[in-house]
Amino acid sequence: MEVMIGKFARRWRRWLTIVLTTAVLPVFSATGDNDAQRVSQIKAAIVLNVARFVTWPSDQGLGRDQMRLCFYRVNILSGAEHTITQNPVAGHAVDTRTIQGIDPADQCDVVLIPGSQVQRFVGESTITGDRPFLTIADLTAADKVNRAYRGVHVNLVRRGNGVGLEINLDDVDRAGLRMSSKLLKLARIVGGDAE
Amino acid sequence: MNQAAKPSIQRMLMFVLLLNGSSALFLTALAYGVNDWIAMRGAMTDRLMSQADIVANNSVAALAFHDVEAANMTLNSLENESELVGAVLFDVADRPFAIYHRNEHYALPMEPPSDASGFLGDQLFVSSPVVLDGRQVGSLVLVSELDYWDRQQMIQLATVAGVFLFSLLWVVILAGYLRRIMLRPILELTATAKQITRSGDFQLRAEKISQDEIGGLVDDFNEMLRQIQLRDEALLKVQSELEDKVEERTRELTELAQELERQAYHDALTGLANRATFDDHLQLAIHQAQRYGGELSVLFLDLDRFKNINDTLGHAVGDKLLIEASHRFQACLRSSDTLARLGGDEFAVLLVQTGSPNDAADVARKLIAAVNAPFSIDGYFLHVSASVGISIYPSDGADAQSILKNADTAMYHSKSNGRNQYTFFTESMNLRATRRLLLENKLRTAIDEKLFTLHYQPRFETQSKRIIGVEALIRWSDKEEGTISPIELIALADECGLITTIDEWVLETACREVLRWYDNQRPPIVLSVNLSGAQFIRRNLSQVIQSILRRTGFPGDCLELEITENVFGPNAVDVTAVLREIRELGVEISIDDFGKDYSSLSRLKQLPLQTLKIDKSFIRDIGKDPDGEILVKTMITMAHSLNLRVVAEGIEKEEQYRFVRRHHCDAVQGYLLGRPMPDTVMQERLRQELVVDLD
Repeated sequence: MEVMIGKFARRWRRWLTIVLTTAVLPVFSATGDNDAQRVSQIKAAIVLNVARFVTWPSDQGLGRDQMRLCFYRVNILSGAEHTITQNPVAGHAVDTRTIQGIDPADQCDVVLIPGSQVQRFVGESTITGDRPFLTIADLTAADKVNRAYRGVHVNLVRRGNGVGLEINLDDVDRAGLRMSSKLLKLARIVGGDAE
Repeated sequence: MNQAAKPSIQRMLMFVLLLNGSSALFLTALAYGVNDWIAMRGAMTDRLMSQADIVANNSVAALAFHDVEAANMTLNSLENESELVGAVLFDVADRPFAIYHRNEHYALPMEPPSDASGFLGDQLFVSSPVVLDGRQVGSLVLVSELDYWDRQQMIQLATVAGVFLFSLLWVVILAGYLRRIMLRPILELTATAKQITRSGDFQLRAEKISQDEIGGLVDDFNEMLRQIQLRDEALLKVQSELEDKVEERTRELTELAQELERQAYHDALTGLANRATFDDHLQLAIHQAQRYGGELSVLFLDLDRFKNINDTLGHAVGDKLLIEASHRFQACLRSSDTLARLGGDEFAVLLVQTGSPNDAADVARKLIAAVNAPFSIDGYFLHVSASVGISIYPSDGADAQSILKNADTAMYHSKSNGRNQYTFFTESMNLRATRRLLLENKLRTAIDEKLFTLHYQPRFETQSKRIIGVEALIRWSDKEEGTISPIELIALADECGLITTIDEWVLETACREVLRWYDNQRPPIVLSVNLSGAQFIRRNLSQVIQSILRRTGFPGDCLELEITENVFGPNAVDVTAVLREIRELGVEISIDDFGKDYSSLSRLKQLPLQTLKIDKSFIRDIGKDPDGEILVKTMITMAHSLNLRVVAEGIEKEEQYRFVRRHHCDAVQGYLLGRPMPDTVMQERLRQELVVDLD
């Protein structure tokens, strides 16, 4: 199955520029609290939408009624809690938690990693191994990353005036997650050379 | 109406089969077409909907991440769908997010339609929601043109029409074949029926081809034929019988017509010509005599005392007598003569081309002789005589009516002269005939009104001249005609058949009067009453006499009945038994007018007689004719030898009286000693004689 997905990904590997509409652009041009909150809401919506194209293994993760979105060490979606809690994913209400490290006890389903904490997370992830939760790294600070980080499944990268997606399909497979081909059609597949 | 225009079950069946087949095909094709139309539209909508669902599903990520490029790429993937006009992907705010437009000619919706499918002008659209994680994040509208669908419909319609026409052709062929199969039994049945109609042969039978309802019909038809055959045979039999009856009836009617015709011109009883035929023949004969000259004769014939025979022996005997007499008459005549029965005992004979009156006389004698021979009918030996009157044309009349009437008159003259004879008509007969007719009517009135009276002539014992009896003699005095002689009265009554009635009246009246003379005591004298010979034809004569004796109380042994010789003459019926019955009543029998007619001594000896009265014609010869005296003497002797008393009647002279007394005649009667006198006078004389005796 993984081979098939890989072939599918390679065949359709291309960059799809995700235009986050005009609402995304102000994320980077807006100033003040309102703009920061709006960017947080857009990011929250993207994170949740990505989560909606992911399937967790049935025996791990999302075995509860709620989906848990964890902020790795820094909550980068402050001010968008309302957006998160009011938009359930796959029928699951979403709650948030800020974690300091990878701890299974936190029962995180999605871990949002700030760009500044990616290296730290990679280091910790190398120790803890693959876990069945979705990891999304906010790398929108850089125009283009085009690389895979060990343990990071999805990179949110900047694509012109929009936000692009890079997916480390190998790590996704190792984590036991499944990603919809619809999402893969929009994303750039990275991996194989993860650091 | 010609054959082609006649209603045909073949055409009807063909029409029904075609109608059914074509109707079924049409309905099938119509249903198929409609269903195909609906199905095709549904399929097209479903296919379009499926495409919309796929595209919508493929567009969900693009919408979720606002990837217009990806959305356009997804929509552009529809370019291979030739029937699609365009597609519009709307975002969650119902704003067009991506558009695919194949042809600018077609308009696309700029906002999502409210229905899942429908028409936009001539285009079909479907709308499919774009759902992500249970939430609609947009919608997709696909618009398709209808040309393709219309072309498909036309193709389908043409296909259906082709199939319909082909099926219709097949139905026509199949219907023709089925028609032949289905109608063959019926046609065979029809052919058989026509053959039977033409030939009238009900022995034919229809062939049973099938085992279905038609086969059942054939069985019923054949059974019907069998019934018809039976009825036909019965009908033929009845017809034959009817024809026989009609033939028989026709024959009967013909015979009846002939019989009626015969009866119209013939006498029903004897088969002789009737009066009408006789009149015709007489008229014709007179015409011929007038034209060619010559004479013809008419003989009017009447059987004497036939009425007495009819009344006493019955009509059956009388009828047989008439038939037998007619046969005898016919045997005496030529074929050219006409014999007719005019009615009752009256016959008429027409003799044509008679040379002289003697010829008619010869025929009359033959007829009288023929009827004089005894008739043996139903055990009776009847002695009959006939009286004949003859008239000659043209000397005795100028027409048929006169000739026949005059012959009738002459016939009555024969009767008046003693019957059993013929008489030629003379002009003087008409006067006598007229008087006779007048007297006959008066006689009938006198009988009904009892206008007769009785006179009594005393009878004396010869030696003592003492009255020993009286003879009752009828007297008839008419206001116009005066006193009518007893001879004429008796003859008339005899001819009219009234003599028996008069005889009974005389007998009963005399019995009553004589008893009255003696105060209803037993009379010391004998009452003599004349009895007509006609009385003896009746078998109950003794009962009649007994009845009178019983009614009057007159003693039978004081009564003497006088009969004439002709009662027991050679042509008379046997009266012996009747006389014996009368004799048993105590009544004595005497022969009146003895010697006047034919007498048989042997017959006299056999009869129960007590007295013999010598006819006055013999008494009248006494003193004049020695032979007559010898006859009287012989009669007295003979009578005494037969133990009969002798009475000499018609004693008018003393010489006559002395002669009979000298020869021991027992009693005398005549004007010399006592004329007939009324009953009161007779009663007074008897009273005086009784006084003298007492003195």
